[in-house]
Amino acid sequence: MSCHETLAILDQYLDRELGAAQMAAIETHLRSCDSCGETAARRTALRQRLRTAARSMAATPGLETRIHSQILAQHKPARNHFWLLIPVAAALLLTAGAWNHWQDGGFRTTPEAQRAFIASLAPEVAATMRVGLQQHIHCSVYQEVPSQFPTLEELARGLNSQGQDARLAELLPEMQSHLPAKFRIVDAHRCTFDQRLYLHVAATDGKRIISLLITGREEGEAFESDLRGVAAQAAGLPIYVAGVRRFQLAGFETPKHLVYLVSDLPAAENLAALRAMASEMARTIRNTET
Amino acid sequence: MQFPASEGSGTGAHADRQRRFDAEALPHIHDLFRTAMRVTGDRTRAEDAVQEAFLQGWKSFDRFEPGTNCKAWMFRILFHVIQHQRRRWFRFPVLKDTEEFLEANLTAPEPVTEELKDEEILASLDRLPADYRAVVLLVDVEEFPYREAAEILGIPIGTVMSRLSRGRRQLRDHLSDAAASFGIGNRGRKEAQKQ
Repeated sequence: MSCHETLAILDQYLDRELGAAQMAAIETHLRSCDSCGETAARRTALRQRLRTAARSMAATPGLETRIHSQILAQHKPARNHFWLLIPVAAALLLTAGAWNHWQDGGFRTTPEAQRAFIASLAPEVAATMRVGLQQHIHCSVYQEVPSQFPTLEELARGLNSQGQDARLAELLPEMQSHLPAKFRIVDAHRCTFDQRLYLHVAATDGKRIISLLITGREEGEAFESDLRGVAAQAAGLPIYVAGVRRFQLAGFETPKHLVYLVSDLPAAENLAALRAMASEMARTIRNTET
Repeated sequence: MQFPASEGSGTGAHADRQRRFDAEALPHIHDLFRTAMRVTGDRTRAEDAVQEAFLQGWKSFDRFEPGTNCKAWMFRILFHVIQHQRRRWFRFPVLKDTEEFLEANLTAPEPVTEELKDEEILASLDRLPADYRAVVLLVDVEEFPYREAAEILGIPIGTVMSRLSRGRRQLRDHLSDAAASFGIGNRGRKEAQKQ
């Protein structure tokens, strides 16, 4: 093979895009021709430099979080053909609003039906996330929002009278200050669901509800063990997210506690609210653990 | 009337789908971003394109065949998105393709890269026409085979080869000029002319 022929397909050779016979012919030529050998070496070197230089760039920090939140916000998968099988008559009988309300847990008036709805969501969310989701639905969605709005001091006193560690009650102003605009803490209490004790702080803007939940972490419970993605870091603290129907969850853990923010806000806002208060909360909660 | 209590098997599969997407598609975010950044030349556009690509990828993830190359699949979506955006931006000249790639290889200078800085190499890459740049990025940086680069860009394999050849040649030209300006490129130029 001549220099001319070699140079004509040298790039394909370097890209390993030639057949075995041509690869071998070029190899033979390169071994015996210093000039072509040097050309090949320089092209390889340039390609390596280009690759290294271009690959030194990483995605904008935060982009992955944004993408993740956006995907979680689309938590209902595209309709599949199963829905075509629903009788048209049934579809007509249900207005979209009523159907959505039902999907979000509405129309369940008995404790049994409410528990059945909570149980029906269980397979849709990882085990550690479920701990926060079920309490939010049980307590914030199915209980009456109080009509009297106590002050944060009154709520803290109420918590203390329930035997709550006063340091956690003192977090209420911190929580309030980082909630989205118009949201106000209207309730703070200790309650149980499924034999688990929670500190439950509820806030509302009159329409939507946010639950802040702190509960003891049991053996083997860890967000990381059942979730792939960390959505954000707040001062080095990983925050995990999940979405089920209209409910959005963000959570982090300390050595002895699990902390959640659950709401029907958009996923990104839900995450942002917890992220803003996470560092201070984690510090205070850790102090109570020692 | 009977209401289904939940969305049935579709929703259990949903969590699984999310896990698969997180594991197979999301790790390519840096590859996709740097390619989008070099092709569009603009960080905001690159972010928009990557975000849109992931969203489209997520929506059509059911059509992705497990076990096939997810990186190539995501790149195909990315370039589709960029193509679509490009029509809105009116910024990139679209090249006319001719199959005259052989001429490119014969007389091009071969720059010595040791003394070039990364920034100079990247600046030369950025000067390439967008269509050449895309092929060089896919083959040289992301190391896709010609066939996959052709599928990603939706062009014939011959066009990939011609664009690659011309893009690389232009890159060598730019870099030889840069190297020559430091007094180190003459050897490469002379030897190339000897051929």
